[in-house]
Amino acid sequence: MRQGRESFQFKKYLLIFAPLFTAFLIVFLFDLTHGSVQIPLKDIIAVLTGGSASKASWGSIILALRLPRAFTASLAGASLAVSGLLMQTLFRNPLAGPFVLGINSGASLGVALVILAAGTGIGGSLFSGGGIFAEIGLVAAASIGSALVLGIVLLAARRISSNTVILIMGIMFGYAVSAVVSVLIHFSFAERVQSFIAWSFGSFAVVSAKDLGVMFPVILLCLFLALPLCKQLNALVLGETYASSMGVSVLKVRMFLISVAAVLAGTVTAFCGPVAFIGIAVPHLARNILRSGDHRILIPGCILTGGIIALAADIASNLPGSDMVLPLNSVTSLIGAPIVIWVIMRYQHVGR
Amino acid sequence: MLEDRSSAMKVLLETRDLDIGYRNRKKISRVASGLRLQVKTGELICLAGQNGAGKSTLLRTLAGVQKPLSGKVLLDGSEIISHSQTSIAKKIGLVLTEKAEAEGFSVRDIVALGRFPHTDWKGILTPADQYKVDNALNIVGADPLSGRLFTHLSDGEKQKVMIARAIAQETDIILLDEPTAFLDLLRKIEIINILRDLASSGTKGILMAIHDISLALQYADRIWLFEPEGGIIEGSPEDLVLSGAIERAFSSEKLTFDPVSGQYPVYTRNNIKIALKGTGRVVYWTAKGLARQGFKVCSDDPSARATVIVTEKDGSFLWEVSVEDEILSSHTTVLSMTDQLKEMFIHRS
Repeated sequence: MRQGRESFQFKKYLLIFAPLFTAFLIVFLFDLTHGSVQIPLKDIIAVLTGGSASKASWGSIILALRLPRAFTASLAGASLAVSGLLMQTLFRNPLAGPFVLGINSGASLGVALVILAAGTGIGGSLFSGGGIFAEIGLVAAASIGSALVLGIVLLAARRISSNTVILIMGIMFGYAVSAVVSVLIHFSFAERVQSFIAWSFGSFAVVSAKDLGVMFPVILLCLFLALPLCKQLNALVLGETYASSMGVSVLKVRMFLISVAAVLAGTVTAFCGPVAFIGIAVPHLARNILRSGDHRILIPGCILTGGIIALAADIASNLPGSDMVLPLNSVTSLIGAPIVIWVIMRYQHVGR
Repeated sequence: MLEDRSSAMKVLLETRDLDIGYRNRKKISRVASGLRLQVKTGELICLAGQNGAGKSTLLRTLAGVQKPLSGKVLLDGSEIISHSQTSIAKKIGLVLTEKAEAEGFSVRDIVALGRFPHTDWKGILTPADQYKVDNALNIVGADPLSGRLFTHLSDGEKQKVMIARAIAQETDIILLDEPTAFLDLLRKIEIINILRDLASSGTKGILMAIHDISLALQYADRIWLFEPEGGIIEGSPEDLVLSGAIERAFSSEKLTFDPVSGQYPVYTRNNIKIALKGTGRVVYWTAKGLARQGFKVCSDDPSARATVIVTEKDGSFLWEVSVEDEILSSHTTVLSMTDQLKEMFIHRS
């Protein structure tokens, strides 16, 4: 009886996450079947288990293109969702997300500088598959851009005591950086603007297996770093003053949370471009699916749900049944916006 | 016996020549200075003062959240600044005015957060922790709410749960910053009674900031009173009333505090005296009704313009208004009686 009321328990843990994990696996496999050619599920499974597909070319498509794409989607979804969750809890704001402190603006500034200002022609080869070096150039530019923003935010966060002030400052900072990007766009050649816009659409397909070798360990490290913070995050739900009265060193935890969330979001943005809404919407979805506010449940929940949503967005952007590809960012926004609206409506119900 | 009790009262928190306030780069704004105060076990102390007097500043300084301008805060005999945050969290619990929100958390989850300084990094509760959480819920009478979502509770219930959380934190001291500010009178008194019981159990010292002086006078063991000049005087409610300190601190140009009733009397607009005769509680409430309408109530006075005699019969009351021993009217409610008197003396003149 008593144990039944305890919200954290291994058996319950398994009971919650087994279905979610199964759903994730199903969507993952489904994503592998989609692309410019449809590949039947049995061939996918055959290739994954070391066999060969019924068409020779399918094997290399699955291993070289589809698998990295699906891994990228899962990783990106997971990190954006966790990053958003951390920001929502830190700022106690349901509309906070991974990019709320201007991380994505920093990344786009970096990319804009490379594509638009430097004009080295990198943009042209962005989606042409052969431009691995170019991609790394963009990744580096985006990373430096978001790291710069992160550094400035952290510098300010050390001196400012109120989380709300940091939040407002971050948002304003994002606007300012975006304005600089607009100025760059205004003075650039049309074709370069075109490649910048292509980057800003976001894509999971541009990340190669080689890129994953960098992206995967960084994200995994950050997710592991987030886990020991669950206890502090739970206390922060009550606000800074309560948390600090229970022994949370708010300043340290805040710096750590901002860093982890920003590196997660910054890494995804550097490799995939800005991917909107997943980071805001998934934490709300996870809270609803798991019916919990406990971060020991929510963080793994956001990892799985984020992966599922990102894979679903990838499937939708590859338009099943056609070889057209929609901009990823539009698809995530089209999925994410209704979720956020629904959540806000629900908050109002609860408030009454 | 008496000596036993006072020696059993341990000093938990102490201030020495403490100056509190805010320090900017250029300016120091002092809120209060020269404070020598003690929080002991077994006491409910009410920190009283008008809005803006500095109650929150003092609480923040005592909790170690804010640095004093000068002087010391001693927690268990050593300076609070030298304590780690966890060590303070094990000794001082905090309850605030602000309405906490916690999406997805059950009442029990919230109370369990109180175990924060006592659990390991994973925050997993041992059976002993579980017991303490149950016990805390029980003390505030919130055990029936245990499984409900915190966001679904009323303001009063939420505040009880936040107090249960502070109890689960197992601290010697609980500081509360206007915990009842948003609650209706009944909830206020419920909360204060919980705190009184907690203090009188003898192991905790409780300090509550409250701007409602009539509640403080009624329920506090001791009052710390912010004086308009920027100091704090302390004493039992009675001593502070008798010395005139409460009157000084809580009177304004338009209102004076009445040390006899412990309340603010209604501002009297005229000098018409009414004699009131009768017995029991009905006399008290009749006098209140008359006073609110601006009459001066006396028991027997030759200069009284009219006499009201109230009698009780079979659980119902009768008010008779007479002038010079001639009964002019009789009434079954206070309202119609006072209306009659207003008609006679105020509207006509």
